[in-house]
Amino acid sequence: MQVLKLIECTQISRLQLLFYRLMVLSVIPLVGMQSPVLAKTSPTLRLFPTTVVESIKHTSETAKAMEADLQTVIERLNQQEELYSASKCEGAEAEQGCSEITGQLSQTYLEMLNLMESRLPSMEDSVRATNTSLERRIRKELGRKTTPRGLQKLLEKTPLKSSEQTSYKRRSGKLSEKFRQYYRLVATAPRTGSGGSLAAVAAEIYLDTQEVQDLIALTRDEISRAKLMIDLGQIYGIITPEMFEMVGRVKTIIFGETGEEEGIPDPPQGNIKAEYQSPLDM
Amino acid sequence: MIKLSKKINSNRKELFFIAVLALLMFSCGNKQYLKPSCTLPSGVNLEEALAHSRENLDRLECERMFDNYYERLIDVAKRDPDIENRRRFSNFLMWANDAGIIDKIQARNYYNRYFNTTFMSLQDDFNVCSSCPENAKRDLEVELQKELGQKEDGLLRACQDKQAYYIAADQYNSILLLLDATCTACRNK
Repeated sequence: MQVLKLIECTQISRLQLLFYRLMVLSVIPLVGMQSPVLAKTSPTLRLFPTTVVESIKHTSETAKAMEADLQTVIERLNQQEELYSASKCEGAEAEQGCSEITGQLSQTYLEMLNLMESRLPSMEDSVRATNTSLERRIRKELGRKTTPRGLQKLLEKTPLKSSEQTSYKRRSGKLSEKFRQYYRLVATAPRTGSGGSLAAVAAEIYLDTQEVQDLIALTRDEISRAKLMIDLGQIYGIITPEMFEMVGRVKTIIFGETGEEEGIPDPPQGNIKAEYQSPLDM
Repeated sequence: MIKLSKKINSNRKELFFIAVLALLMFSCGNKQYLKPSCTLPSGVNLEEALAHSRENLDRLECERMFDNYYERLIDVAKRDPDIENRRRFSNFLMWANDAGIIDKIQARNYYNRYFNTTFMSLQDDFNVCSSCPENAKRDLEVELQKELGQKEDGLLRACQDKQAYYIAADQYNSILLLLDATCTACRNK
C-alpha cells in the first residue's frame, strides 16, 4: 500500500511540475515592449519570425482546448471532493456511502487523467514546433552573429523596470489567456530591430519548451502507469490527500482560482544622483 | 722587525675597518633604501589613501604591486563610501596610465570591473557559440560571478549606487539566461 501511494505521489508531483512549467512558459514578462526610439537604434535580430509566432499561437489554442475539456471534469471533481469532506469520510472509507463517493472520485480522477493523456500529444507537438523554430533562430542570431559582450549590449537597451511596472509578476488566470497574452507580445513587437528584452524572452521560452517536452514525456509515462494500476483495481477506491492537492493545483493553474501573486522583488530605490561619465567607461 | 710587521698589519686592519664603515655610511646616505618602501594604504580616508598610493607607486619598486594597491584602495573606499568615489578612482587610474604604470586597456578593466555595469569578463572577439564548450562556459560563469562581486564592492559598497548595482545584477541574471539558451541551441545543431 505504501508503495502504491508512493507511485501516486510521484505521478502527482510530475503532473504538478508539468503544469507549473506550462504556466511559466505562458507567463512571459512584458519586458519585450520597447520604445520605438530604442527599436530604431537596436541591431537587427530576427528571433520571432512568423513561424515562431504561429507555433506560439497554436500552443495557446491547444491549451484552450485542454482547458475546455478539463473544466467540466474538474467541476465534478470539486463537487465530489466537497461531498467527501462534508460526509466526514476521511478515515471512514469502509462505510458504504463513503465507499461510493470514493469510487466516484477515483473514476472522475481517472477521467481527468484520460483527458490529459489525450491532449498531451498535441500539446507536445505544438511545444516541439516552438522549440525547434526558436532553437534555429537563437543559434543563428545570438550564437553565430553575436559576441558575449554583444549579448550584454542587447540587454543594456532594455529599460530598467520601475517599481510601478508589473513585469516578471506571475499572474493567475486561464492557461490559454496567458498564452494569448504572450502571443500578443511577440506578434506586436517589431520583427526586426528588436532588442535585448525579446532576446531574453526568446531564451526563456526556448529553455522552458525544452524542459516541458521532457516533462510531457514523463507525465505520459506516469499517467499510463496510474491508469494501469486503476485498471488492475489495486488502488481503486483509495483517496489520498495528494489527490485532492493535485486537483486543487490543476484548478489553480487552469482557472486561476488563487489570490497569491508571486514576483521578483523590485530593486530598492538607489541613489539617483547626476551620472558621472568616466573617460574609462565602456 | 717583528714589531714593525705587527704595526703594518694593525694599520691594514684599521684601514679595512674604515673602508667598511665608509661604505656602510655611503650606502645609508641613500635615503630611498632606508625608507620602508611600498606600504599598502590603510585607514578610512580614501583621499589620503589615494595620495599615499600615488606617492608609493611613483617609485619603480612599487609599480609591480599595483594590483595590491588597487584592492586595498577598494577596501578603504568601502569604509569611506561616497558617490564621488567613482570619479576619484577614474582619476587615479588615468593618472596611473599617464605615469606609465598601467596601460589604457588595464585602466579600463580596473575601472569597469568595479564601477560600471558592463561586464569585462564578456569577450568581444568571437561569437557566443565559441564560448560554449563545457569548460569555457563554466569558466565564463565563474568569471562573471566574480565580477558581480567586484561590482558589489565598487558600485554598492564604495559608491552606494544601489540603482547601478541592481542594473548590473539584473543584467548578470539575463546574461546567464541568454548564455544558457544560446549554448544549448549551439550544441543541438
